[in-house]
Amino acid sequence: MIALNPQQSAAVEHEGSHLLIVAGPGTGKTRTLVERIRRLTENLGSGEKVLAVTFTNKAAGEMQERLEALQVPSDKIEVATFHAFSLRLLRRYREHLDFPLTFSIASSDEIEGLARAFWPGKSRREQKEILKRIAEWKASLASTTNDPDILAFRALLRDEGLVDLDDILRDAILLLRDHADIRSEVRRTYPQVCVDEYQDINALQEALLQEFAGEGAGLTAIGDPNQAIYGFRGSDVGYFHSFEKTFSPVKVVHLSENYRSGQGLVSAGGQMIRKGARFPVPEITAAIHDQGRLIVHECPTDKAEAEYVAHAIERLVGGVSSFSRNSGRVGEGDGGRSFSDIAVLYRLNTQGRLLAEALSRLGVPFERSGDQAVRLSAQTRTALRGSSQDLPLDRLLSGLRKTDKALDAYWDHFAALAEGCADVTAFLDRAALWTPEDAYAVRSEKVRLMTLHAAKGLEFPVVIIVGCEEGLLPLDREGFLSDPDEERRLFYVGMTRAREELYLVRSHRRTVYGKTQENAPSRFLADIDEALKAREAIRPFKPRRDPEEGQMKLF
Amino acid sequence: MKYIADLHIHSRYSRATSSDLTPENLWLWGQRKGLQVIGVGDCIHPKWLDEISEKLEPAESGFFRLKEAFTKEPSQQLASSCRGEVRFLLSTEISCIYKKGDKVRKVHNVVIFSSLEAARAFQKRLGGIGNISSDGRPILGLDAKDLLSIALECDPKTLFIPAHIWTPWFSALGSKSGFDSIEECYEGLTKHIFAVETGLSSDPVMNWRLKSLDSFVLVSNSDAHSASKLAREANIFDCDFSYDGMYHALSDKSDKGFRATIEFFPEEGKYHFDGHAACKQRLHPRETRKNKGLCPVCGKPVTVGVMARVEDLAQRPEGEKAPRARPFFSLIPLEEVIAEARGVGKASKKVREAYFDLLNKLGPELRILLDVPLREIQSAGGDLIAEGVRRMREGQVSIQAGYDGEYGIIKIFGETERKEIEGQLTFL
Repeated sequence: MIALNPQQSAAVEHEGSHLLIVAGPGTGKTRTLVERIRRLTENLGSGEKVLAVTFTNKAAGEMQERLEALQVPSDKIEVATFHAFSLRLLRRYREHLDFPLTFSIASSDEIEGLARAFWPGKSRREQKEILKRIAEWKASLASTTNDPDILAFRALLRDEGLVDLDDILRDAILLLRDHADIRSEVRRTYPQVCVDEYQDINALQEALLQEFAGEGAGLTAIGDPNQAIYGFRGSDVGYFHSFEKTFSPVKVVHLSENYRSGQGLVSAGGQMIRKGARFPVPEITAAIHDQGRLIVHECPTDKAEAEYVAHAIERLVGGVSSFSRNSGRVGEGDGGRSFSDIAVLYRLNTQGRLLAEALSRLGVPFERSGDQAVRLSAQTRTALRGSSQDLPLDRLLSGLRKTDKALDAYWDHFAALAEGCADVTAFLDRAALWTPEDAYAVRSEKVRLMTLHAAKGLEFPVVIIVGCEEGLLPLDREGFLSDPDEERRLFYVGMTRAREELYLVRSHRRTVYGKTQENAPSRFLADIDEALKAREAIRPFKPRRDPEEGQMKLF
Repeated sequence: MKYIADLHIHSRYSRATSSDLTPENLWLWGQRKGLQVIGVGDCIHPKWLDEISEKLEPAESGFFRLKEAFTKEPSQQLASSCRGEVRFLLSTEISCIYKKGDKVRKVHNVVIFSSLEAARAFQKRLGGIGNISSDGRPILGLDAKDLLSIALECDPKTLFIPAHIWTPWFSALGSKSGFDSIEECYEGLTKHIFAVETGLSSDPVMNWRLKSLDSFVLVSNSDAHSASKLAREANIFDCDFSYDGMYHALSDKSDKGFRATIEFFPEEGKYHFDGHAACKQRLHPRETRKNKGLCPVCGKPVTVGVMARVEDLAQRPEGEKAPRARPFFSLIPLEEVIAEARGVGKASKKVREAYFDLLNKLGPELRILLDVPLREIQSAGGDLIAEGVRRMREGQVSIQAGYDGEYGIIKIFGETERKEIEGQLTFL
């Protein structure tokens, strides 16, 4: 194993105060965090644990695996997302709560459905406004309210035995705040709390951490403020910047050596993010000597863009059929990549459709994942809740498969979630807490098509970002909340996923949601030095005339 | 019973294939060629599998026949001399493209099933992994070993055959993206593989040079992309006329049911030898080595062909036989023999007419090329065709091997020979 660099060691070894680790892309963030957790477990007393909080369930699973690989005793750690951990607390201390003992988590679409049924006279917009008001009230942590809508809707949920994701956090915070004995017990159990992806936390999550931070408990936060991309979901990178003040005294350690990407790619990312940055961006240096390749390509239309991407992939893997080679579309010198080396990223999920079609036509295996969470239907959840706990879970689920489209279409997904669940409640919790970022890995290789958001935390030898245009990147569309600073960070997240090759592709004309528009190149492209960009010509396409002749050429 | 089987073909749902690949045409051309068993190809493509399920019916175990109702139309185009029984079995080819040992591997595999249920189970499994409906020969990012494992789970009696194992770009032993041995590719599951397909570019003699291939039966198939290419390579069995009979003949080393293969002259292939087309340099691998891999004219690296790959992996000297070597017949398609005899292009109308005329008089093409006495060919088709068949049967043909994308050239007759031969021949 490679030794830690001095900055990483400083972060791992730190003792005596809270710690903030500013970890740029590819700087060994996860490794540093895992090593620090291991280190912290060495100084625990009996019954004490390090609590490691991750952003997604998948990240929690991976962290658990890495800690196991380092032979950290499993009784010394607890790895969970904020929601999963809060849920555990609530279940553990359920007798102290003033709501039903058995509750289920309602998804946001289920909540919206309930709102529709509850206020049939109100417009969709009015319903959403009330739900927003409820969310704000919850985030304020006020224990009471005079708002009749909030009171009525909360009463409804309680009667239905339902909570939503915000409720879980809020109730956990209130539990700790209102019960000094529980708070002390929890603080004693978890004298060290480490939080990954700190740039993406929200008000409730920060409030929960504040409940931990007293009585000598240590907090470690790690993240990269330049990769904060969940403002639209209520995350606030401001908590990262105010961490030093909120939890003072804090030791700050910067990790600045990038072990992921070629030098040219590291420079290009740095140039782009520094433009318009409101906080100083520490210099990141590339530890890898290879330059990397940054290719900028323009296409006339979005359809041409999809074809370009398909054929770029064909070249990258050195041909997918004998036709690739006979046609001259792929030549000597191309190849060396496999499908899972490549990711195509875009701003809006809808952009994936043309790409998926183009790859399908070529027969290239791909997996398109997006922002859409896969949810069980409300009927299925009700049926499961009301089912006999004696029946095996897989039998229950198989029985419901006929009546639930999502369950049937994503059977493998739900079957995987059900694996290892003790009962229906555990399964429902897991299904409700599942997010698209948790998408399970399949063992066959595929090109990944996904939104820039979904690419967070991943890395690929080759990354192709399409739609590098004004209006899309940065996103500026009616009906979408978007913040120009966050758009820049999102582009940065996309660029920094690439290890060796980065394609930035744009189209002059594009149809989005049925509307065709002419788009100028993204301002982000102009923020990168021309010297770092290569422009690529498409190889002339000369199909053979005789299919029979083409066949012989195979041999 | 003795029968000829072509196990690897494609349907019209595969890329770059002819629209004439329907069950009816396969039935028709199978008889014209003299095949008794045809793998349907592409059997997990949803549309093709539906069509097969509609038009075929179970016959002997694991074999299917075209339903009577669908034979009416094609049988009008079939000479009575060619009539025979044709059976189908469920086969498909899957392209695996994946990374193993830090290298991208592209391996084509032929998978044959013992029942429709097994094929459907396999279809379902692969459907969950990738796109199986856009191409009859699907591309999956699956390790070929995992593909074999899935095939075995769906059908313990599957016949899993690494396809055309020497093609540089898409095969288990290919120089560009293959492995150095079948075991390296399929690891512990290799014992479930009984046969490998030699492909048009190699013949058994070349494959005998690898001791590591001794445990496999060397099979040959057409990989046809149009109906008239059926049976250009094929397998001769003499065993029970059923899937089980074939399975046993391939899987049991003591079974003598697998008799021989029908082969192309491998030199016809475009990458048989090494060379550099731009400088018109055709090199035997020995010469390539002598030239340190460089073109003798311009000094650039030459394109390395199939023969060189065989030489690289060879564990026996040229000419030595493998212990379980089976006989094989190197054939030239009848249309090419006719074209050579007439001195015209093989796609010409004259050749087509003569081809069907011979089939009418003598029976299926493979019978003409392999078995029909020369006297009969002579009286049906004339001296030159008969002499052409004789020379082909005896291997007396002149071959300039293909290299660097240039077809190999096979000549049966010299330029001035035709006139001399006509009217001079007597076959006893």
